[in-house]
Amino acid sequence: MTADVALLEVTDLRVRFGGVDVVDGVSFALAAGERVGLIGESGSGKSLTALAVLGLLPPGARVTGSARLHGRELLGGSDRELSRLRGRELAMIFQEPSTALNPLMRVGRQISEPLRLHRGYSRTAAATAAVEFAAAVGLPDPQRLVRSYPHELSGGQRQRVCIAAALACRPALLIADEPTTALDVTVQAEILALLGRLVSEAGTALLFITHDLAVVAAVTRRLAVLRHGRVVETGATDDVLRAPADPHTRELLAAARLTQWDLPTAESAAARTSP
Amino acid sequence: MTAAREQAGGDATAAETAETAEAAVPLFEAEGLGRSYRLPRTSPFGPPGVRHAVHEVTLRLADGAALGIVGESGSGKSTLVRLLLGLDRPDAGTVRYRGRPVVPGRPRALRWFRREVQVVFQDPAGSLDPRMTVGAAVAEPLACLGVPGDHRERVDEVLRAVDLDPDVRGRYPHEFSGGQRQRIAIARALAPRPRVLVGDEPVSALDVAVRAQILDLLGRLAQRHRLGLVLVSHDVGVVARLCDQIAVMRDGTLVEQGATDAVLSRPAHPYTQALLAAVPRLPPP
Amino acid sequence: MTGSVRALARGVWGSRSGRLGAVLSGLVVVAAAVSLVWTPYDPTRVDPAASWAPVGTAHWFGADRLGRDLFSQVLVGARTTLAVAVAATAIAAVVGVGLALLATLPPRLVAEGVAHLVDVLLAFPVLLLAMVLAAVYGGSRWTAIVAIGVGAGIGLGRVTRGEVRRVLGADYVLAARAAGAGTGRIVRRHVLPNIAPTVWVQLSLILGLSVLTEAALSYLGFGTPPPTPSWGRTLAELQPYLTLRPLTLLWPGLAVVLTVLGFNLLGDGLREAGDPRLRERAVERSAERAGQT
Repeated sequence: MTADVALLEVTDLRVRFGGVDVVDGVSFALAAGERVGLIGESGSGKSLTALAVLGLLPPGARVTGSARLHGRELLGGSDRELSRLRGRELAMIFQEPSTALNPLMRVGRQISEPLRLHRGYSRTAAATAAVEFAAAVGLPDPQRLVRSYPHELSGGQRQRVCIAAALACRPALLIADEPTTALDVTVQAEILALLGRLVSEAGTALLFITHDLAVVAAVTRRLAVLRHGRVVETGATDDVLRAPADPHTRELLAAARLTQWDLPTAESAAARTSP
Repeated sequence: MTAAREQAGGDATAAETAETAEAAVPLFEAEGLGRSYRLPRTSPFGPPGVRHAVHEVTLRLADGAALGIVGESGSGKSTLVRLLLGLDRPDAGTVRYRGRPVVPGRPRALRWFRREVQVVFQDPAGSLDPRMTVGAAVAEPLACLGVPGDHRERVDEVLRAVDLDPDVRGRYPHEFSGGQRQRIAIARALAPRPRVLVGDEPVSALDVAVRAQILDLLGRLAQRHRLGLVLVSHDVGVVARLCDQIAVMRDGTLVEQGATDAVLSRPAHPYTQALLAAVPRLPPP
Repeated sequence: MTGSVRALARGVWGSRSGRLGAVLSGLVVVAAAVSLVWTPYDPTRVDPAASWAPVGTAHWFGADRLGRDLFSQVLVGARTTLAVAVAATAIAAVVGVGLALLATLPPRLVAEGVAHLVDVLLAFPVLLLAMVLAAVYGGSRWTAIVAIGVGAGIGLGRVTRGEVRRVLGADYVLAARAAGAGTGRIVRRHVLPNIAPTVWVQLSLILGLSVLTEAALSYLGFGTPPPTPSWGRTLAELQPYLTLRPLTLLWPGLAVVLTVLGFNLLGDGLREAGDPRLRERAVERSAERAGQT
């Protein structure tokens, strides 16, 4: 997985927690505007990899290796440098949009907060921008909605708010950690479509973290499969999903295919019992 | 969909007239089931709002058959599970098992029903008491239902049936992985030798590979013990895997029900069509 | 059952705070027990010759103005204090857990009524209750026990109610109901074991608090009447000489402080030992410690 001009280049990343390497030598790279999936089950180290890149690991974690954005080292940088980058160059959206938003702050302010922080927008300019962004992520009645609080929104709407806030400063890289896992399937489809459209419009690179192979197929071009903190397989998404080389990937794929009802496998037809 | 409803209605009246004929009575049925909740008043003098969590739901399950109920969040499927299990009282309609009404009330009065209908919940971490050993948890239905004798042998038997070592008896739930905990919950449900297993999102909290194992286990157990299954899930694929009948639920009502193959290949209701179209797909191998 | 008690005891001993708490609490129990059979002097015996006797071999903790031996007073006072604290805490446990169950289990109207009643009663100070009881029945050890027990029990009920509701809302209670469990069984097998950690901590706080309250009530004259020594009364009698003989107040004061500390640490230990998840961690920790040495 090498790109000529890497936007993000992670080399031999290790995260150590209480004597255990939870991320154990992970390397991958992303070119500008590229969409890459990071696949793995719970405990595979995929979320910690993302948090390490953002410098947001919980205390007690020891990180070694390197993660470079535009060639600039992110690991071991001071918190001030990193917080300047976060929101401007790097943004992240999380699995639980309900806990990712401040329950006591109006939605509009949460969308425009990064603009005021990093771009020096005035209060009024930020308020106008918030309405624009709310409209851009497909939130209904944006004028009124920016004045509401997170609990007044549905789960899908809250995730749209998170996406708007994350993309407000046009970051070079968006990290999405299971952004649709907590949502209903129909809402998931909408959010995935929205996310795909926005990142391609803005030329933002996307690092998409998920356990769901079918979701990653819908969003990314390339992927890396993680297991026990190691990359076990990388390649073009289509190739890996059609002909996985690693036995663990094959196992994951077989498990995921079991619940794809219209894939014609002899095994799934035999399994269903109809008395 | 309307055809299915009409047919269901016709069957119900037929069942009433021929209640003595064993064959005509479905094993487990719900008829015109409804449950609503009062919402807080929006204005001080206005009438309180009402939310129909479940509205006019009619379902039936034949002996040894598998019925799947699919719905997204807020569709009322959790409320439906509680009603079916006699854990909540419906405002309308009835639940019948072997033709006998299931009326929530004193636990003793429902023993006959609980011996035959057991449940597996979504979150195995939450559905096992953290302070109860595995052995005590699995034996709980036996103790509650007044099954006489030493339960130890039966506990070992069901633990083996779910591919767990009976020696795990003395351990606590937190020592197990999610998949193992769900096996324990399944063992507990199997302990009183039920005829019907109700699964409320039984695999939703599990990783893909583990989910496949648990689905496999449920399928095998159902086949071996000729168990009826009622599987409630947000995941069409899970239901499609195990159930021959499917019912699609939205906003408290069943919008479509029928044979799984028929509904999945030719969905009639627009909502079912949208739901099926939204499920992300893997490329064919 | 005895097995689980033994496991609990082992767990308490395994944690650092539990062990210190057990030692301190044990010291009070031993002091109370010893005072039943032996004290250096009769704690109420007045001896003008020993007035303000200094700390020494004759009087280990010294003597007060009337020449009464302070060590004997502290020993006998341990008995009073322990009896009041344990009895009051037992009452609080029954009242608190009872109220919490009454405020959650019965039909909504009754339960909410009880819950509101608890909120109203919470505003009624323990001191006032003790004064009312003392006015009607006279100040006695029982006045203190009932006042502290009921007062603390209402507070406990308030805190415990939320815990009971949390447990009743858990999936395992739903699973138990689906398995055919009745209310009695759910309370016995699921609710009580799962609220136990919170209740233990609260009870250990109440135990400590009742030592202090007993001292305060006796000090004010609503609790233990003279001449029975109690730490609070001893303190009350010495208080006028605070500036003249400060050292004499140290002993009963220290007894109160160490007892309260001991009970609170014991509560922490019990909470840890009662939870299978925390217990395992404690065992691991002690194993690690053993491995290091």
